[in-house]
Amino acid sequence: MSDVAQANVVPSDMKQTMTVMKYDILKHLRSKRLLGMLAIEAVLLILISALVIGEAAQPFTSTMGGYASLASTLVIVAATLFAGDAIVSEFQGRTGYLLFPNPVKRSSIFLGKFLSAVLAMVLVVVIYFGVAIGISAAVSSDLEHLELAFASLGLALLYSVAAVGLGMLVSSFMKGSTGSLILTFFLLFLILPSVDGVFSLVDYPPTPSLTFAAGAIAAVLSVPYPPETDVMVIPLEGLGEFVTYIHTPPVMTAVVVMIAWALVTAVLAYFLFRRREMSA
Amino acid sequence: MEPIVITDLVKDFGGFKAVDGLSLTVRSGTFLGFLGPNGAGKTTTIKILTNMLRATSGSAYLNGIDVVKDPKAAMATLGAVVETPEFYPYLTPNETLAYLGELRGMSDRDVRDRSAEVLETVKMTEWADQRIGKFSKGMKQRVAIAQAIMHRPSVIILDEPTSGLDPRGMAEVREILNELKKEQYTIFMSSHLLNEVQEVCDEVALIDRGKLLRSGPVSDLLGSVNVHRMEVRSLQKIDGAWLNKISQLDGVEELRASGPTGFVFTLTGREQEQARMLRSLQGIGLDVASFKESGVALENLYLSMIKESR
Repeated sequence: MSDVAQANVVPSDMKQTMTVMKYDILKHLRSKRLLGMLAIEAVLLILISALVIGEAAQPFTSTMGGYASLASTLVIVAATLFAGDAIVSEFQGRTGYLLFPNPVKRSSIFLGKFLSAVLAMVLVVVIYFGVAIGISAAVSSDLEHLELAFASLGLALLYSVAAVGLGMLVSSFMKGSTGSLILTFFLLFLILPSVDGVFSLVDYPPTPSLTFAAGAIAAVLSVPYPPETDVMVIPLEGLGEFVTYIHTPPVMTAVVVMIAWALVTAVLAYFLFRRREMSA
Repeated sequence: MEPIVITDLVKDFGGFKAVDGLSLTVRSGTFLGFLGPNGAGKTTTIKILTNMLRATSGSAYLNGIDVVKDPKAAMATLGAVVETPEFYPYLTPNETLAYLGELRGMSDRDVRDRSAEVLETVKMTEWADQRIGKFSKGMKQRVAIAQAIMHRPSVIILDEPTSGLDPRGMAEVREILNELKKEQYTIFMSSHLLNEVQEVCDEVALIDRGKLLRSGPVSDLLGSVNVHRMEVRSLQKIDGAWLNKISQLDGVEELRASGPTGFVFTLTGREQEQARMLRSLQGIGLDVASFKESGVALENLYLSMIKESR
């Protein structure tokens, strides 16, 4: 009886986190989400490249800006796929019945899943920027401000972590995987950007918004960096003028906002997960 | 130190007490059947013991460790199959066992050796490297039992392990339970199948509405059964006149026909009363072809206890 059990020393929380992460990455690989994401990425890169290569050679920052402008969309799709149902699937899919009666803390399970989603995102984003920087370097008229491409990559990675946090948060309170995936996607793709738009219309910069902060990913490639507030006047025939405002987050503000979102959403998600019971 | 100790356990779901002051101790090496009707609180109790639900009040200890205060340590020597667990469909049984083995601190070699052993025990060796996503419910249940015994826990908790299985699957799981019984595990198993419990368990605990009705060794409880459901077959056709005659006999209760030549009734008393009743039936001219207790003795006890508690 129990000779093996007594000989087993339950691993440290961090080692268990790594174990959860390892098998969660296997999930991303075998569920074909990662492959699907890479396929979407390939299609995006081909489409943008077709536009870029067909035009007359532009400065590096302009060419790279074309790729960077779609990076946030890529992050949104990836965060939805890798984090949007990370927690809820354990409850809805009943795999929690297998995992929870083990000597492992919820914090290790949460962190393992969080890290696996972040790693998958890093892979997707780094490949995207690697290919984009390579093509931009090859077809642009100059190679000035190469460092801005890496600044953009850094911001995209930070946005990825924050988006994973938001996905985990949604996933920690939703009851179904599909709803969780849809809500994560629409929060990042439609709901938050719509709120940003409303604020911009009334000349109130939506500084705390995550999707507003993500605007810095492309803006950082503009030389010089755009002003925080720009006024756009659109003449309307017979109706006078329509005045709207374009707000751009300063880079440091964007960094702080993304870090804050990553921390707050991850902590909230963890507490919700820790309290959630396997009651169904 | 007893492997499972539950004291004054309460789980309140917004005013509904699924478990209501339950206290129960399971002795080391016992195979205990945890019985009760649907909604009695069996699964809720098991979920508290296995770190899936938080108790509203009271305590639950596994090997002396508080499940609520230190779930990580409490789960270390526990193996559990709760409800019908689902598996990660993208993993094979070997990978699933490796995952859980790693979390439990087993070495790579232990994982390899024990995986082969436990998959052999549950007759899943042939599918050890196939992805679980395509497995039937019975196959998944066998893998679930394999993961529960993988690390040789001192305590195994099984929540209706044959639920939802076809007769063949049930027989296979029952065979595995009999194998487990030969080893010195402490097993806590909820079940609806009283013949199964009577066959494999040493002790039973009956609960209803979250409260313990009775617990003890199966033999003691069966010895205390005083109400028996009797089933009789005769050579004559049992019509209304016969039923009327039989109902006049002393001790016959809840009489009803059962097929053209049979009837069932409830008899209070022990074997002497059964012998007397047989003589009485023959005494009124009935040609008795068979005279036996209907169902299993534990079922009679269970039904009478549940009836009394409501």
